[in-house]
Amino acid sequence: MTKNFLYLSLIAIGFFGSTSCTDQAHQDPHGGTLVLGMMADIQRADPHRQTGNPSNQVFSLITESLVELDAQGRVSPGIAESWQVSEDAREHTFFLRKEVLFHNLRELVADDVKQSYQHMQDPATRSPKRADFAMIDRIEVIDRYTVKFYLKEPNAGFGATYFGGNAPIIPPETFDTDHPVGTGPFQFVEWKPRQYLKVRRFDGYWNDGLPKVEEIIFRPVVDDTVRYTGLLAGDLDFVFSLPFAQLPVLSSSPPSGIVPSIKGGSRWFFLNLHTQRGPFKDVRVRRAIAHALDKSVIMDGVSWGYAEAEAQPYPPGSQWYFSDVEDLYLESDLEQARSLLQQAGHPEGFELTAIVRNETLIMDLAMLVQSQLAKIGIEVKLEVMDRASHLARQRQHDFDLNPGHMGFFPDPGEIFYRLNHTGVPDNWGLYSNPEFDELVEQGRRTVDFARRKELYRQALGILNQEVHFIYLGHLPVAQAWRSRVQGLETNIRGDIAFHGGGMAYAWIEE
Amino acid sequence: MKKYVLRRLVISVLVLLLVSVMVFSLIHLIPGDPIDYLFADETLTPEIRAQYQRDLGLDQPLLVQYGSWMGRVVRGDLGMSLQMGRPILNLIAERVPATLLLALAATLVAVVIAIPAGIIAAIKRHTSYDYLFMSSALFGLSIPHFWLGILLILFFSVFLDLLPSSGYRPLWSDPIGSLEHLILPAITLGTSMAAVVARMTRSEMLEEIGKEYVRTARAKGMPERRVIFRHVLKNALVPTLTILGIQFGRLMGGMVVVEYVFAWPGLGSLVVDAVYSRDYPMVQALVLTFAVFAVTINMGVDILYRYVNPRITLE
Repeated sequence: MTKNFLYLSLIAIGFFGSTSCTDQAHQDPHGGTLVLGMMADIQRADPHRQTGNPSNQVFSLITESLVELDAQGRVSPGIAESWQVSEDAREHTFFLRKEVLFHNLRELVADDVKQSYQHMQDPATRSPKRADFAMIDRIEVIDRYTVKFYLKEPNAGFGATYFGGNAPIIPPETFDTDHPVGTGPFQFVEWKPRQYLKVRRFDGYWNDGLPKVEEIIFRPVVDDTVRYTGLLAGDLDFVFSLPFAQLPVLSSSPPSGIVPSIKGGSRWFFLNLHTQRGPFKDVRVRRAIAHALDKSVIMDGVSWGYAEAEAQPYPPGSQWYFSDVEDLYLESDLEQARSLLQQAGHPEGFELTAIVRNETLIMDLAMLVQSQLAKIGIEVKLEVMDRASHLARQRQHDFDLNPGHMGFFPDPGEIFYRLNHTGVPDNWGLYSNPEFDELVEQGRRTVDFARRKELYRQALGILNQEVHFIYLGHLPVAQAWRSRVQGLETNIRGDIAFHGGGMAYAWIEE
Repeated sequence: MKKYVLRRLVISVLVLLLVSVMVFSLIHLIPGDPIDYLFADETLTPEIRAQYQRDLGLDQPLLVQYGSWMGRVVRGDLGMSLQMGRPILNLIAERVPATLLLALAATLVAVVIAIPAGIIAAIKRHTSYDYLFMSSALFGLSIPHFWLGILLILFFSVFLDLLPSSGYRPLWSDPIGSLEHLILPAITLGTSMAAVVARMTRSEMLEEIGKEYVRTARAKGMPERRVIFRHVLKNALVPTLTILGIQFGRLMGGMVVVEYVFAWPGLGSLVVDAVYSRDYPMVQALVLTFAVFAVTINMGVDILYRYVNPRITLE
């Protein structure tokens, strides 16, 4: 037990300015009800069995995890005030905040953390998060407020996997019930499926003075336009995911009483090329594709001019953004593309198949790619399908071209390793490069931030040379709320709960 | 009558059995499975995938899966939703009141608009009334639900601030709120239904007006109002009733667009979500439920014929 730890981070709450927030909170008026327009209803009321972003947003106000993200998407204290990672990145020790109460007024202790993780790991629970916990070998309660995770393999980004609603710590006495109990700023009141989910302010919340509003009602309104109309009509106070067609008007002259928030880069677009079949085995053909595309036109086209072309998965403002990465394919170079095709023995071009999920954004993206590749003689056949069919085709590696978008991950280990390492299930295009594999494996083993960032910069350099995964750009978070909602900020991902901000800090000014 | 109902019941069981085979086969034929969807955000190794398949019973041969599903259904157990982890019977029961309320309200809107419009258009054939009503009907038939719905929301909710833009309130717990939330979706659905019913009423009325018994009634000096309402309308309503029945049955399972536009918690969106997520037991149970609705409504309409037109015998 005397093993030396590399002390990584001990981040006091005060460092993030919570003290000043608390002082301010006491001065702010409390009370009132906020109605939030959600993209979808939750599927389940059990925190360990729910999944997906709309659900995570709801549960992030009710339950908490060991860590949270901050405004820029960095891993920050949650239930754990601080943590240590061993030199070999296999042992992660979390030091819990004291006097954190569950909504049933019992104090959260280290054993609750252990039992929560074990419950999610247990096959009998059938948690949709179970696969993510496979990397945990065992969990040890060191003392009342300290818990240690032993991993099967090194993973410096381990803590980043379990933020927000991804790994909620709930009291074991409430496992397997449909009445979620957590330590979050709001406590669950009731859920009427497809109608609303109501939460009420938790007076025993550990962060004194928060939350400020009395009640929040989540209402699922699936259609973007209808949700936005609900905001205009005053039926909703806050809406997720605005329709992009409305952004030009909304950002230049917002309707009276509406506060638009367009920022960050919640999702990144990509074009995934299969590397083991057809002409794409030849890197020259893949580079020809990359040269033929005009990323700016594509990103403008899918987002009414609000998405930025980029050659990397993290947006500016993120700690994992590489300001020195050169985009070799930012602008279309048809001559170069044709020349590469000629060298590869395809001067007349060829036909290929793209699997396209039936979402407006992806269908728009696919059509733009199709029209641009036609200029170098490549005929793209679009196979439009629903999400489950698309997921199956990806899993079976059955495509030539796979346009898509993906959400923001707080740690690059997830994005680079999971999507590109040889032999992993989500390496849909069957890419394989030992040099790349070694870099991302080192990235998982390396604890030092600067060193890790350098490793991932090199890995990204290889991906941008090999272009089996063409990064196209970032889609901003587009949300809006009524001006009576004060003090509200969402983070780079558009989360409504994050370290130092979110709905807990908002109040209503009538 | 009893014999007729009994015969219809036997046929209905056969229809439902056929529907069950069809829906089971079709949903399993679509590419993708519940595991792809349920665990979309996770990295699934083949071993974990196989474990999930065993957990959900998807590793069994299809015939075995069908047999065990039907075995449960005949015992009244529709199973659990794979995605929501709750009993399907409860999930359907939660949605039926909202669906039924909207379907009834839309039908009421349709009847109130369509029957008078159809009668007037028929009586005043080739006049401006006829053209106005019939072109309105064509318009109502052509206008997409999502567009009309959003227009109504913009006008009544955003500009006039009279009605809520979306949502649902149960009738028994909040009658006023319930009606306020009901008006816009009922008008949206009722408009297209009214269009069909008005056109049908007009053409049936015209057919009846041309018949000899109408000429006889008029020759006897019967007042025109009585000829129309007592004789013509009663006969003309029989096919209209069929159309209303079919439309109502369609509404019970097919209000998906309106449900999405008005965030209405009905059965239509439940089945669409279930298909998307490959929630096999849920899709199967819902389609079977819709089939039960359709069979029951059709039988009800057939029985109703007898009361509308006593010349019809149910043998």
